[in-house]
Amino acid sequence: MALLKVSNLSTEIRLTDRTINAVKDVSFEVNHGETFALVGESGSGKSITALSLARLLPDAAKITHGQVRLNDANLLNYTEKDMRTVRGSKVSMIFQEPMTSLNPVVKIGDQISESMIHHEQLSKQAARARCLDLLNAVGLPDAKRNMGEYPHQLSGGMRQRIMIAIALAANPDVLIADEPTTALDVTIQAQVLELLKKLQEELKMGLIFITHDLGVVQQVADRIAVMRYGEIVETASSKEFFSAPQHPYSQQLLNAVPSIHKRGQRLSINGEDATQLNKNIKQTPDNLPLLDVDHLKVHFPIRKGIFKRVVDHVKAVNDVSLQLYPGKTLALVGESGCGKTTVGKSIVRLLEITQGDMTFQGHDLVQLKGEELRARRSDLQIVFQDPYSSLNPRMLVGDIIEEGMISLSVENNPQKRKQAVTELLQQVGLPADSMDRYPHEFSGGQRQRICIARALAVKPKVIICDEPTSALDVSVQAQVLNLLKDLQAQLGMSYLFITHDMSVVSYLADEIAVMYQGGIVEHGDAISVLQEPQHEYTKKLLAAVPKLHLH
Amino acid sequence: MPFQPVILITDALFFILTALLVVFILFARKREHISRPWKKVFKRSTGAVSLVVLSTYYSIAVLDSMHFNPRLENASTEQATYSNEILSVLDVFMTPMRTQVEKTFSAPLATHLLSKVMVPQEDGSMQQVYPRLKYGGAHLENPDQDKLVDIVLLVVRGILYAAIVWLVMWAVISFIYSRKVKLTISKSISKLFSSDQEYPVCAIAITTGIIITIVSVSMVVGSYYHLFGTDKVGQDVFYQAIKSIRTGILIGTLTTIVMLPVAITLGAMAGFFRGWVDDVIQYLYTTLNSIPGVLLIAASILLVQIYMSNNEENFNSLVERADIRLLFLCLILGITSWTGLCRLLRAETFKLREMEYIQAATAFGVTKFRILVRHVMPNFMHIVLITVALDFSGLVLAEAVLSYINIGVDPATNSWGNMINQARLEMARDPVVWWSLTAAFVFMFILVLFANLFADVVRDALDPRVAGSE
Repeated sequence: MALLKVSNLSTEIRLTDRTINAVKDVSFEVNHGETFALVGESGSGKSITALSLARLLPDAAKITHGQVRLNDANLLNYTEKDMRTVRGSKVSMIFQEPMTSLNPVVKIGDQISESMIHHEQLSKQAARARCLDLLNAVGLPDAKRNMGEYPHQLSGGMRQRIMIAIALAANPDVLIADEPTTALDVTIQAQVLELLKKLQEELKMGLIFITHDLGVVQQVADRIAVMRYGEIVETASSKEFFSAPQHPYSQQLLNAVPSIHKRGQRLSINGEDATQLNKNIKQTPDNLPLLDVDHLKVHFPIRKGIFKRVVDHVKAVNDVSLQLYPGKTLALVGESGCGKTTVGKSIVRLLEITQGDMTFQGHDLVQLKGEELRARRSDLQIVFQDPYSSLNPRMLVGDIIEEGMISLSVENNPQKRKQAVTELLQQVGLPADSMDRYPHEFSGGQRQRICIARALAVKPKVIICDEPTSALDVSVQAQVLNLLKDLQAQLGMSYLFITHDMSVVSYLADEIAVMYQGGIVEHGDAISVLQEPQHEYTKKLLAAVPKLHLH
Repeated sequence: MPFQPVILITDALFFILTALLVVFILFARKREHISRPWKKVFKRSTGAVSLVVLSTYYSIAVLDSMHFNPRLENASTEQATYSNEILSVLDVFMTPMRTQVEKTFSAPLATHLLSKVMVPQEDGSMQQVYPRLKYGGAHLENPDQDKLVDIVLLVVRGILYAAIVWLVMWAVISFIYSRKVKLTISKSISKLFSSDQEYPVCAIAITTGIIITIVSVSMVVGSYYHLFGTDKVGQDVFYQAIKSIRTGILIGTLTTIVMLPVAITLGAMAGFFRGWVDDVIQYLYTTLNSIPGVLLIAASILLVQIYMSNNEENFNSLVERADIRLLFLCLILGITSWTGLCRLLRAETFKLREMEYIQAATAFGVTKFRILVRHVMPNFMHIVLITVALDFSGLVLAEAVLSYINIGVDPATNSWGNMINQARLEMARDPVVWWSLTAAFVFMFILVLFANLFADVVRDALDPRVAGSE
């Protein structure tokens, strides 16, 4: 008999002006000791499904019909009071954001033992002993000390371990993990996944794993359900799914994932066949680097006291050298906090440079000031990570794209400028009437296209792409990556591609530079770095990445 | 010409403000992201109703700000001569209430004075009697018997007038609406008032009905009686309360105009440039904040008074002097009240300057000034609007408090604060004269209540945190 059986579950969200059917007629089973993965892109209803199971829905959402049977008792018939005991002892949840799921003013030990003292009437000593066991079980190195600490004293990975410990405190039958590793770096992600898998085997729990990352799914899941528009389109065992996906949407998802095998091809979107990319990249005859960064250092001063004395420096970037050649893509890879974004922003002179040289086509960039700097800005442009905060919500899209052309005097004739904007929109695949609309009317992928059009407007030779696809779904990511490749083929630009996503790197990059703690540890041709990493850190990083194997 | 227009300084500023308001409405109509939250305000019945009430107050203030000198009648010469008296358009409408001045106190709707007066009798002896009022209920033969019936009849007449005006008004609106939706009149009326109408038409219709009835009844009854009685020198209290509306609205709005440029410029600069600019601005407002506001206001009002008494030749009339004092009160209130908004805007700019679209603009070489104007300011305007709406009622109340302790507007200016200040002594009399205080309270209460309700709705509509949680 199945541990958890969900049948015909439907949930709707009632807004003031309309009703959204977030979950439509969803049915699945989870067995003892099984990992069941719910996969889908954002807005597919996978999180609402999870919240419906634990009956933790927001006020606006309501379960309209269906059954959730846990050990053959329908959870949807329980009163709220009964449900509280179920949540404490039988169904537990782990959320995505380890930063906000813990109360910042309560010590770790007290947060974990709180529910034990409440629900199981344990004495304070017994609860603390249990707590220590749990923290040891989730692999915290110094559990005793950690219990007396506050959440801000711990790293993201440690916090997520504590969340897991809290979820496990009552020995649940079912553990629901909602994107538990999305906010974590790959090396930490690997540790957390391993831990979850180990604990599940020990405790024989049913694990419902919700994620958008197919690589992670392949690593952990026994069975998989793919969700789209609130419906499950395919349920299959992990092996079947990755060798022969049945539903067209599943195939689409798998095809959209960039990988080293798809280099030189367009990523397929909506089932169309992968086509060869236009290879006629305009090559400049001489092999001089377009952009040459030499021993770049960026330090941020730490100031203290009333006189703002500089007491120390944060060495965000410490001795970085790299060369970018015309028409090529250099990927700058590293985990969060390694200083890769700082490098990108320093190159376009958004940050002050502490030391080092930068030249663009042999012209110095570091000493530029005022008008000279403004004149140079059209050569180097940047596309940011978050397409929501990088467009001014109060400006029309046309004005946003035009702004750079006006301020850098690329085109001074208003009529020609309008025409140029129309062409740019066409180039990035947006309708011409987008010009007179506001950014909030566009989706994340479309907004990223607007950002790219804005950067292209001033005819740059180098575009710094700062994680341009990390906020996007995999199919939208595929569209944006295709667009970037097409534009490079047409216009012969160079990209400095800053990212933490190895699958994107392996698909797109000509060269790779690996950054670690403010410095570059390995630099070389993409294929050789990926296949024969030299430095220890690169090896560790590559090993931690969940790889998607398609049979 | 039968009159000579007079534009006082506060009038001019008030008209400029009204013009700015109109310009903003025209500007916002074309821009979807600005008009969207405002449409949300009008769709809430609380918002629509308070807006109707507030615009009634505002129109009274506008009427009361159109000043002129009337032409003197006796001028036989060709050359027109004008009186020195400054009147407003509102005064013309309220002529009976303005001119019918009694001897002294009388109760609301009374026909006799409040206190006994020695009156010589026919037989030559003196007797203490309550004398009849000169105007209030003067048309009645036998006030004790006829007064009640008379008042009821007047009220009915007022309601009748109101009903006619209201029906005509809504007939015109329905007609225009039927042309717009291209339906027959009867169908479009039922559609206009149906519950699925986008805007709360029913609530607006009821509110306008109530307001028109109140105006009409008080006009009809007010020309035969003193609605809220008379004060010590026999002036109509209802007239005073109505005249105080202009003072209240002016204090609430002009102060805002004085404060806004300072708060916006300094707040945005402090947040955007940081460093020493931020330090200077922070020290400025911390210093200003630590001086008691009342002290500053008292000092500056004293200064103005001394200046005016030393330069009497510059001021033609009492009204002009009172006007200058009102203006200075607005100025000094503005100077003491910009710090709160400035602090909010500084914090918001801190947040905005780290936004990626600002960095993108920097990467395009957009000048700092343009970034401030095009990227920073439009994105904190919701805070400005919310603060203005919330501050308005506070300022109206502040005027009352300041006038009460004699450092507010000129004693000659009609204001709720002055009325309350006078009522302080009247409350100690026997029998108690309660109507001045009540009238001031009722009029101020309604204005402040609806201003607060409106501010609440505006905040709900404009605050991104509230809007995002829906």
